[in-house]
Amino acid sequence: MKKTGVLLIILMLAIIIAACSENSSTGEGNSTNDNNSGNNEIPDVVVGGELRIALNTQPPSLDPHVSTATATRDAARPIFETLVSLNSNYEVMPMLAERFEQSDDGLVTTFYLREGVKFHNGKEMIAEDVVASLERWITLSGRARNAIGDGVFEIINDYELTLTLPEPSVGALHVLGAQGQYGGIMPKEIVENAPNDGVEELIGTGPFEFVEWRQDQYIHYKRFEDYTSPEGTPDGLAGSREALVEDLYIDIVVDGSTRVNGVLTGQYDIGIAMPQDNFDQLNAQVHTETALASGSAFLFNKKEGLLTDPEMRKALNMALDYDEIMLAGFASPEFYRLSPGIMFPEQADWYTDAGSDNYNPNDPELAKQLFEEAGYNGESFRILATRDYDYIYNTAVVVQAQLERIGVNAEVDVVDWATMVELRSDPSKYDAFITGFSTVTDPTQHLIFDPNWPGWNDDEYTSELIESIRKSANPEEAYDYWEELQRYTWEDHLPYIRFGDFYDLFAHTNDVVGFSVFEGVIPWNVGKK
Amino acid sequence: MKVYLLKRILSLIPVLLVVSVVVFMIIHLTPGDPAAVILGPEASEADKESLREQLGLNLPLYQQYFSWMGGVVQGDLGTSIFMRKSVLSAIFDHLGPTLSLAILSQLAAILLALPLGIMAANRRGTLADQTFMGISLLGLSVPNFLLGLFLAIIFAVNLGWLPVAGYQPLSAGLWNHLKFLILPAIALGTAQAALIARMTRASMLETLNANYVKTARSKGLREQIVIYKHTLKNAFIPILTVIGQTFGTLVAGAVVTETVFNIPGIGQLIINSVERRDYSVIQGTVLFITVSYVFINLIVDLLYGFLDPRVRLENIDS
Repeated sequence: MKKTGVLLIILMLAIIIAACSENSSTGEGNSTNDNNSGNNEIPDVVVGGELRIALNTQPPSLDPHVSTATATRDAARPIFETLVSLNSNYEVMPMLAERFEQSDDGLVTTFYLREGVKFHNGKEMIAEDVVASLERWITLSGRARNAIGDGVFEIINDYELTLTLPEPSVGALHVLGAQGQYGGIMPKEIVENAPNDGVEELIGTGPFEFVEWRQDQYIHYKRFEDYTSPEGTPDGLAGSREALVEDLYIDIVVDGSTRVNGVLTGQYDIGIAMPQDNFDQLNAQVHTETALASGSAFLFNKKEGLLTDPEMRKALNMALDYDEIMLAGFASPEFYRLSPGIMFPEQADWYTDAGSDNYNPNDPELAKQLFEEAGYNGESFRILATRDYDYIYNTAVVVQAQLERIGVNAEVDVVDWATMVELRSDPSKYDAFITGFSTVTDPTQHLIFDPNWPGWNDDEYTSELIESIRKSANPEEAYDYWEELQRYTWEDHLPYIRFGDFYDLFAHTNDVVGFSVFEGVIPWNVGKK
Repeated sequence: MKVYLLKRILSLIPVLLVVSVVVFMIIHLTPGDPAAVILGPEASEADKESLREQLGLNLPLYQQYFSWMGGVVQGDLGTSIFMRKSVLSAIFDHLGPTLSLAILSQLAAILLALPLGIMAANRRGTLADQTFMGISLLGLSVPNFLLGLFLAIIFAVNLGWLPVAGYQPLSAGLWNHLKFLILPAIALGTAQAALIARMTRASMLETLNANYVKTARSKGLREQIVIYKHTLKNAFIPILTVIGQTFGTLVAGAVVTETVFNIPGIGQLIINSVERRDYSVIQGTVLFITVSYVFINLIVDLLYGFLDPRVRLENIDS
């Protein structure tokens, strides 16, 4: 009996030692900070095998017309393609349309389709499919309605169609290639009469065709044999595409440490949304990559409560140290940057630093004075947050602490994500909430300028400027209005605070070649050694 | 016996009714909205409203309850808003992994716990007894997700013997099926084993002092017969209760362990459905778990009679 006891103790010691030696196996990992995958040659590998991508959440739908969720974007991407696409500088490039031309007044755009493009069901894609798909998409996507509105698609012949707008719209062309809730092209027969919560059959023109979706386990795709690719060097989502693996799996792996362990052991080839706390560990053993994801924003309730007063909002802004907030939210400077641009610096057509004097002011003494002048009387600000996204919770806690440092009260209401989405639509429930805003292709698409979106930026001057931008024929024409709007947003109106941009962490095993990210992982042109 | 069974099954009806109302009210009164989840974080209010209408979520609560209950009585638990298939088939899809995991971890727990518990009772007060009981206390106290993560790091990441996470059905081959379940089964089984071992020891100790055991010993029966035939059988009723209860918990889904090991079982189904506010799935699964719980308890009760003639059901009927 004593022997057994001793043996057990030895076994336990062995286990503890094994656990501690976890980092002893050093791989040839390295890290690349490559937020925009520039020009990528297609790697020269033997086509075949399988690629497994670990995604952090199950997509609500695989129909890209339906959901704004990024998981839907990532999981629909192998199957459905757009009429035009965006390169890494967010410029509009050909995709299913081999070229397009705009009339001088900017009102009519003619698209010339590539001939011989096959759907996964064998049917050739022609203009009527494009028109049917985009018409359905416009009824479902707020952003598409916003940019294209009453525009009309017309079939000229099987390979030619036009989009006619009643008035110029700066974002009409871009939105056709945008990635959130995107306008994927599907066969006319499937799109017609499809229910609003998703098409019944997943048939697209992409490099991979859909095989099976095991709920909460994986989505299986296989290489589409008859795929025809656009031409050109791969850049962002534009250029040629080739499926380099026979089978593609998107595994649904909700737990962050499970994704980490899975990539470390090679069970998954690529991991999405890796926990930033594991950066060093991943970096030592496999490849990591960071990619621009979103902007971290603090939205004020402008309909009810304390923050309806712009002076109160300015006082609050004055108290905050953005760098400390972003560091708390994203763990390390690798994962965020401070930038006053409401549009990313990568979006050369739009980026401006107008209004940056009011960006990250970090003057607690002045803040105290401003609060006093605004008539602050010890009331408590209610900040809505969730632990489902670490950065949202951490940001809320640090904002609270910074306010308390100057004697301003704040409370953090922590709820789950679904609850937060509902509560933020109710003006009586909060004073401010934290969210991430995904990339938009032009400023008019930004939800912060939508008077009906939570936070309610219902402001006359803002709407006027947004209308002027929208009706511009191109970004150059709109730029002055946009510069003024961003200045006004930071300096006078302050409907929200955009703390800065943040990056997602991706990891892949050392066998993966051709990995790239642009608005999500790109599943083509990536293979295994 | 038949009357007893019938009574037990009929007693399910009020239980289910209460559970259905409570679950329905709790999840419908909790903020959150499936339409918002489907359409994603950046959807407009207008689009959410129109989807809510299409899904019938804008109807008054009592109307939604009765239309759901109407289906339930006819054996239709409704359709998942999110998965777009019937709730029953979603439950059965997720039941396989959970059952496999439950059986495996329970088996591991029993095989480990019974001999250890018996041994500890037999050698009460010795170093072996104290060691085992110490370890079992540890096993009981370590949260199973933590143990799971440790096991994954050691046996999957460092040693590479077993996969980190995932699941393959039995149809993919016995080993393919088992290799995904071994680590989670150990993680889960440890706490169960600790509980069962402690219960076995306590119950055995009590019985070992009984007069009939002394009689058996004084008759000169072999120690093995005294222990296994006379003591264990009589000590088994509380042990069986613990086994039944832990099994019930396992069938209800080992929520955290299933998440850590990415096993698509009932626990994960519930968690995901709560996150998505997939009302019909939450309701259906909770009802299903209630029924399984009641049935497992019923089976345990019937087994009592098998072990102990004094509680046989003939006596209850008369």
